[in-house]
Amino acid sequence: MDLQKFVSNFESAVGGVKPGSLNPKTVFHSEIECWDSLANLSVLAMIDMEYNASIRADELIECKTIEDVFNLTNSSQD
Amino acid sequence: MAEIKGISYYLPNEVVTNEKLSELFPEWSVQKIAEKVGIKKRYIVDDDQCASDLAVEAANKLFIDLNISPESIDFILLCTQSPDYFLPTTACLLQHRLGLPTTAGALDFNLGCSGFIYGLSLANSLIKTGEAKNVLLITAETYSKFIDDRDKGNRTIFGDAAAACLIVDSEEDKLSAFVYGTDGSGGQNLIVKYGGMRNRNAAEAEEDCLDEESGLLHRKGTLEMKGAEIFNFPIRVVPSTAHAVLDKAGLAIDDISLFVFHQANKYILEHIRKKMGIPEDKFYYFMENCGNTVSSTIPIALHHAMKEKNLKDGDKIMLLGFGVGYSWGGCLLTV
Repeated sequence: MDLQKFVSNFESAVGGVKPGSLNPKTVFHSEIECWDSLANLSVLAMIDMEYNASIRADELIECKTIEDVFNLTNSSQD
Repeated sequence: MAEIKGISYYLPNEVVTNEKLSELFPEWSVQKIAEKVGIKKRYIVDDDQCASDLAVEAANKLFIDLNISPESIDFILLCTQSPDYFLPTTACLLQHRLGLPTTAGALDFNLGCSGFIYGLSLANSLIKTGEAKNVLLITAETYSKFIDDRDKGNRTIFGDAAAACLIVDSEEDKLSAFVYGTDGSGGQNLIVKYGGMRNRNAAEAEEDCLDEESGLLHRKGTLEMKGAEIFNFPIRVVPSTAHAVLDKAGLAIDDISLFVFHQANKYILEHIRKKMGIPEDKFYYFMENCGNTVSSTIPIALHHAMKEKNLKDGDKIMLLGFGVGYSWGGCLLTV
């Protein structure tokens, strides 16, 4: 899994953020202004579609940075 | 053996458009979210209207549409989570209000978005075992009464409705391949905590509490939904359940003419459709003009699909419901 590609997929899933504005260290809950439950859902759907990994919403909530989500995805792939 | 003879439905009068929600919540991009969930308007009951009132309207419409007498019904099943009373059973009250024979069996069952599938399964079993010949299955829900006025998320998603479906004795086995699923560990993710026997303090139910996910206040006794998780669990269970239905019937995705799933949220349904490789024209949506009506979404969508889609005798339709509980189930319907 490629971290940069993951950040870019994360960005597309959230929508409404400037391309290239996120990085692995972005604390997404607080630093993404439009972050809401739909963004949360969109990221979970992206991870399922692109990485075939099943992550629960509460696991995503526990992550701080996008890199944390990347690591969680990496360890949850089917 | 059993088949569906007809479906009618009823929506209450008060319409809540996205424009109206935007006026109520100007700080919130209702339009953007509504576009994403695929809903433009929903209908809600007034204070005096209960699920049973919606049920009566839907059932009487069905009797007219099918030109049948209430006297012919020998079993009524009501799926609701918003009954008129704890007791008596709302289905018993409906027997009287609809003029069903006193020899008819009647029962309520408490399920949400999976309820129509379970109702079909019960009706199918009653008919197959010779216990009944004409089963009236009604789904009726007034979630609007559970939702706090300030809860813009749930007010965007849910609408009230009732659907009435007649399942009759048939020479062909047109309901088949039932598959069920339950995971009570998700119970807390969509819940009304007060009003039952567990939490009986009515004053406490009126106190405000904070929903951490949305950052909004709501009264403790109103509907609580952990949106991200409740819309995420279908990603886990729907594809596997659909494949279990296909396996049970010995069929493949290509053998199915139409997929009518619980109309939870267009975003998540689109995700599931793409992941499962179901072509767009075989995946039916009907939520734009009535929202998520809980147990009535599948019969309402099916009612319209049967009219709009050019289905032929023998075509297979997959029905699949999933939601509160968690509870889910799927089956096949042969046209």
